[in-house]
Amino acid sequence: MNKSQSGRYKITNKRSRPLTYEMAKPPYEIAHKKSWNSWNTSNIINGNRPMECAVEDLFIRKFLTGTWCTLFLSEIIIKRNHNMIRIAGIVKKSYDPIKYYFLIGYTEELLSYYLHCPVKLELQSAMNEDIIFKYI
Amino acid sequence: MNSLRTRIVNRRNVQSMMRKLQPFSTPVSEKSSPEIKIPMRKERGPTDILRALEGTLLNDSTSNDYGFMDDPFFIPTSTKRKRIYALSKESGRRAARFIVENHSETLYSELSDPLIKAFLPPEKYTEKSQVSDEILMEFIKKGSVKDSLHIYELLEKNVKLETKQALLELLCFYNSEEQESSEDFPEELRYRARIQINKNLWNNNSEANSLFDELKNNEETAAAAYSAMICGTAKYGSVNLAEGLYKESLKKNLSIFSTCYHYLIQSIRFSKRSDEECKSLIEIYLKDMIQKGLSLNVDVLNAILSAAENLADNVTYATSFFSKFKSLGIEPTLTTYYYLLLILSKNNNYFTDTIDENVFMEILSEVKSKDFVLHDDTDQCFFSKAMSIAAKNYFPTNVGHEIYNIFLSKNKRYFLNNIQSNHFYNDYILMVLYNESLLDFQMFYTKFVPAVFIPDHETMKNIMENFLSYRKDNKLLPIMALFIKHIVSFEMLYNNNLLKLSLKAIVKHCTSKEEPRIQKELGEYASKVWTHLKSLHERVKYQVVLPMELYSNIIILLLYASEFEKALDVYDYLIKNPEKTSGAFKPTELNEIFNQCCTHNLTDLALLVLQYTHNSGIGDQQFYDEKIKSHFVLNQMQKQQLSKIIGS
Repeated sequence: MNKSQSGRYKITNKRSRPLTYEMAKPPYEIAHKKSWNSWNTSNIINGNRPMECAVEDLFIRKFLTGTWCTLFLSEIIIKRNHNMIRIAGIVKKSYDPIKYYFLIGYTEELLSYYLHCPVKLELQSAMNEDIIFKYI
Repeated sequence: MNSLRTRIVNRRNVQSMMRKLQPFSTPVSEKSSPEIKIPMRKERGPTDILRALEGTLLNDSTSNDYGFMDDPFFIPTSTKRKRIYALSKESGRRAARFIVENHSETLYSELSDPLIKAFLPPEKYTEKSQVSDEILMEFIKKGSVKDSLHIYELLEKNVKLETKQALLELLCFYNSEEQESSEDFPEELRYRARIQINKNLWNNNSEANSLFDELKNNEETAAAAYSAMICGTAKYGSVNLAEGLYKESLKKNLSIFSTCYHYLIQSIRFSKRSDEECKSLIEIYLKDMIQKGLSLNVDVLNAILSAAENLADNVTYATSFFSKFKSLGIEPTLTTYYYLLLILSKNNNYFTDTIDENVFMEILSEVKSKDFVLHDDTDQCFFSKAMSIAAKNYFPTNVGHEIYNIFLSKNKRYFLNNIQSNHFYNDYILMVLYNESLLDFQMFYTKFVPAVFIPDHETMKNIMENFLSYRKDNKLLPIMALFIKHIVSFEMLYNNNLLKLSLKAIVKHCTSKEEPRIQKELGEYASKVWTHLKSLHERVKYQVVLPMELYSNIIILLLYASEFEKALDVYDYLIKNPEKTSGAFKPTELNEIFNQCCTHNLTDLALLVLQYTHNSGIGDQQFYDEKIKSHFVLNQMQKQQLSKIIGS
């Protein structure tokens, strides 16, 4: 446990590495001070499609990171309820909202076709500096 | 202990009293009916439960439109933005659809179980072996004109007669053009204005013609083929062709469908006939229907009313048909009431849209008592037309509230598209503006704007004109501040007339002794207007000439708000760029500016006012001279400037 490194960030000499709230909390704080990034019932006992669900989530995250290049400031949260997938996150206020709406329509439609279920995006906007929780 | 004892005593008392009262209680019925009656099963539609659940939700007036992200950055602030964002989202969906259709191999998946066909990319057919009659019928049912014709070509036109008939009907219904279904891109359709067919738009498609030629000679399909062709040609304005085909069908003694009569009657307005000829033609069609034993329906009534709309003295004609059809048990739709409103309101020769209030209320009460389903595109015009008539006739506000309540009741709020809903709310707001006090109007306005809709420029201009019509009263200023904020946030600064009106109204009711908070707000508005105008002058290549009154009001408001540098900046700009303004300062405006200069010791601006007075001859030159000399302490440069002005 002591040697575990994942989800922990190295402290810089000048304390200049910005961290978001999500990054600032180590993995053992999940369910205490921060929440999960994927919400589904696949991994409960007798849950449906656990592997498929994990791979699909990976695909969604890769697709969004590529399509919304450098625009997502936070982690991508994927919530599944019933036959619907809701994708939430914080995006950067860099361009006119018109361009974001184009991307929203594009992402929702394309992912719906690929995942065979309705996909909805739930976005919030922020400036780069707004999401910095602390520097280490 | 004593208290406990009294409680026990009391309880005993109560118990004994209950025993005494028991004989007087109502006896339980001993004879219960042995049969249990199971209530009749109610027929429910697939969305009835959803609608019932929706009915339990209260309307949140502060909530955002469902189509947009719930974040201040993404919430549209004007009607224009609303439209652009909605269409932009749809455009993104269209781009995704393009990829799915053209590069289906990259995103192909069969994740749904059972497989949902709607999520699969469209199949492409290139060979005859891949297609069949059934596949062609499927595409015809989907309403895909292009694909159906492609498959028909692949099948080398060797298909069943029924399929050919279905294809002809498809081509006639869509005028041989590919039409997008409203479910795919609803926003684009919602923003598209309703297209009125006023001329011949019929595409003389060779495939449709050859199909018709083949089918009309076959006894089995002749009547259906003629019906399809008559409907198509009449619907898309080719009246002569439709009437010719109708006569042909009469000669051949074919029994065409009742839909043909509905389209034929509707197309009468395209033909250049006299009113009497039109009426007799309608009569002929109706007699023919009755002879052939075809039942009349609401579509025929709507078609008659739409044809009657263009006739002179049509009120008795239209109302007689309306009452006859009603007596036959045909339930009118909202389109019927819409045409009735149109016909009844055009009765008066002097004003358009004039209608008797009692008749209007009678129509409203009929609409209120009924439950409608969307039957026709024109259904969506009823509520906006009713509100427009109520506003134009200056009916009392409760008529407007009544229309709004009817609109909210029994799922009637689906009967407005985006364009019509803007008209509806604008008229509603204007109605309240003209009939209620300003405070009531403000409360009403904040209930709807900006959560439900955003007023258009014309409505805002009317609101400002209303403020101008009041006598000078500084109590109006806090109310005006709200509307001024909205002019900025709704991106209405591009409307020069609105700017002029709003500044004029503010200056009319404002004095230099207002509350500092109000003065600051008004000063901010003037400053924003000035920044906008300055950037406009710099950015636009052509000359933007605006009235001097607008600029003088900006200067006065800036001076009231103690924004002296900005006021000087505006004045200096005007002196240096006289070609950007039309007209001149009024003496009263110059006096107000000069008085403010004296109050706040603004020597530079006072000298500029004096210079303007000397150059233009407007204002009391002598008074300004004397006042500057007596009131201000001038430095050497200012003294030189003064002597230069007076000397010139």
